Amino acid sequence: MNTDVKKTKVGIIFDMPECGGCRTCEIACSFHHRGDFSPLNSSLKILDKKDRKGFNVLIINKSSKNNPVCDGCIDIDTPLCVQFCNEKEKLQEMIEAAKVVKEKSEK
Amino acid sequence: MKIYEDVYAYAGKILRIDLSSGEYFTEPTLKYVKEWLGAPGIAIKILYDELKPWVTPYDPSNKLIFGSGALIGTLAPGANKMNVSTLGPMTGGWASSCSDSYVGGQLKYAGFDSIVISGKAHKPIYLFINDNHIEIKDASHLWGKTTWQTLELIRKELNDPGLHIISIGPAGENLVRGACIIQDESRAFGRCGTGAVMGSKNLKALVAKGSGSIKVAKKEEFMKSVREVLKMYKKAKSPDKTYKYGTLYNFHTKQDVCGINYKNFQYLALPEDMVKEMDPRKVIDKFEVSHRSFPACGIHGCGRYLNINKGPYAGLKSECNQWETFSTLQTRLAIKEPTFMVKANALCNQLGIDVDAVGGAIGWAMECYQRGIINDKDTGGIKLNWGDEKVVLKLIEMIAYRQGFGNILSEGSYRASEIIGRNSSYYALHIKGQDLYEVCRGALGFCLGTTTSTRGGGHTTGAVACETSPGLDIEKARVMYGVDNPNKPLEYDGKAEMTFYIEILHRINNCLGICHINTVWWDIDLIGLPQIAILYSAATGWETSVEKLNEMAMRQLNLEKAFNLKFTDFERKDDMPTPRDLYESIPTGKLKGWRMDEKKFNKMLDEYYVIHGWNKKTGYPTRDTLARLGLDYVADDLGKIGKLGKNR
Repeated sequence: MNTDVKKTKVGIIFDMPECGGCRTCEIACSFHHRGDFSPLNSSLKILDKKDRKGFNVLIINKSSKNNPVCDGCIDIDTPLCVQFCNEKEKLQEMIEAAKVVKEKSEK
Repeated sequence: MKIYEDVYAYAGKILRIDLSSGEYFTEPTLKYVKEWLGAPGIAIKILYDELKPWVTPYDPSNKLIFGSGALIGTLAPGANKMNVSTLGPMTGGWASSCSDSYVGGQLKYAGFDSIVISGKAHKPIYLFINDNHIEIKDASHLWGKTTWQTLELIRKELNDPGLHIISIGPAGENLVRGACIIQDESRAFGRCGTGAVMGSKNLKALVAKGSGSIKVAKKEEFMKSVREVLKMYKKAKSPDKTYKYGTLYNFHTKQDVCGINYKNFQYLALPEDMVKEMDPRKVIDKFEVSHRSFPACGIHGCGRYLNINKGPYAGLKSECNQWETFSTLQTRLAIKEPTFMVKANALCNQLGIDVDAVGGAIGWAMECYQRGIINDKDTGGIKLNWGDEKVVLKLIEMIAYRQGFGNILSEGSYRASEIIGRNSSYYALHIKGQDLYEVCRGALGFCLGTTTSTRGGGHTTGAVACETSPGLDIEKARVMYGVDNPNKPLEYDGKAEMTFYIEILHRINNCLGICHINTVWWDIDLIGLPQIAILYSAATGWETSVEKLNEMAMRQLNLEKAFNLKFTDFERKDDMPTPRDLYESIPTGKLKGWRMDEKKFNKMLDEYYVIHGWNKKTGYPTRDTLARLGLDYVADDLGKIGKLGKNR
């Protein structure tokens, strides 16, 4: 299980040492939300890490002006970002974890 | 900004910016793409039409064109290779180079497919493209800085730690002929000297940031096709290996097929005792910190970020180099320290200089020194012994800053040998003035594609890679290339056809932004033209057949050829291998004793010209060929300068 490194106003940042930083997930995510490719409009952000042991992944789970909230791609079996990620299980776990936190905070 | 007709897959606009006046305007991408497809296709059309014949590479009226291919920014596998094209200083003709890039995607999200840069800024500047907001920013404080420092300073200055940039280092500023442009820290627009053209325009960097989107015409069909073709990457054999070691995974194969440049191509295999010691994969095993990948790569990335924490370069943190650096610097110069390749690669990236231009020049110099052609007097007292890594690193700096003997080497091996004279040109291994990294003996398809390349020495515009691939699906390759012997590197028959096929594939890849390593060029089981045609058709909504793509690629190649005829004296002799490759037999290794047959090579070149509809004697395109591609005006131009190929 991934441990989250930081909670922010908009979501949770996870550590992902296996991530190569390709940001294909961001492109896929934007397609899920908008039907076009626009990575700025995605529910997850790949962030540089100082030690460069992989990257951090910010998953947006609270409404904000600029970013759509991660809905876990409820309409399909596997979230679109996960489909395009090489570390499918790791990313899937993060999305699940972000969802749990969101549900908790909503209660 | 003008608003143009909606277009799918493309961003829609081309930005034209004149650095002398600071003025800019846009034009619709649609003006070009039905005939010229994208990035380098658009670039060659603009350069051919708009550069007067007297323009020279560093002339302010030369144009530097960045292009981001049609599939960049989407999920199409490998679509992240941005292109830069110009009239280049290495060959004096067509210069075109691609690099894995985030900037390419950002440029398209900002709304631009290409940027055409003309003129020369009055002082150092950098370009900041932030959606429709185009800013020419002062770069006086960045001049003299390395590409790594420039990245850090620009990110700080624009208050965005996630920005991606492309920049030049001191080599580009100093008009080092082989200067290249670097993406962030570690990916280069290699060969051709495009960094020097950027330097001549006082343009230090280009920053792109876009919040817009790329739309595809047939969404479901496109995504279905993407998912379908991605299955190929799971089944094929190469992706796992590429993922683990990048192109360095080929080390033992290269040794087996005599594909390693050792001591400036005097030998094409390493001495057996060095094989174990120099296995570059061990460096990755030992120092890897994490993986590095680029958007939409079907392989999930070929990069490795290393922390060298032992040995002479302890403290160095950098992405690991790929095969080319290993062969063109480490083995070419006979350096044993395994981490040298990472250090030399990082240094070249920081200084913004092409590894092949450096390796070619230093390799030539070391061989001349070995043979007593140049001595300590020429070098200012520096002893150019094979394997002396300290001297090599010193020379790289001297080249980038044009200091002492480095000033001569900064011209590349061809021109350095012209300056020194003394029959040293035999040891300058270049094609059309561009330093070679490619091992031409022992793989004739690779050789033919390299020697005929319109950008000078280079294996990414037509060189065949499958001949020496172990485990090649021969039947599949036979069907694809239409030849019986795709797995026979030493046979001359069929190589013209194979080169023709790869010339098309490489051009289509470059125009759409697809990385070659993601395609059948690298691995016959990955995507090829049929899949690319499907992806392009779904993305644009324009039903585009493989035949149509073939035609566009050939139109582009013919215009590249005509562009070279306009600006250079290239003819048949310039499509021939170097004298060393043509006349020397392979001295060691499994192909020991094999030598090229000049007569057979010439026959192969004849076949190559005939397939293209070019004149056999000169290599010039004929009117019929040009007319068939809608290039009658080019035929008229070539007729005027006496370079139109006769039909017979």
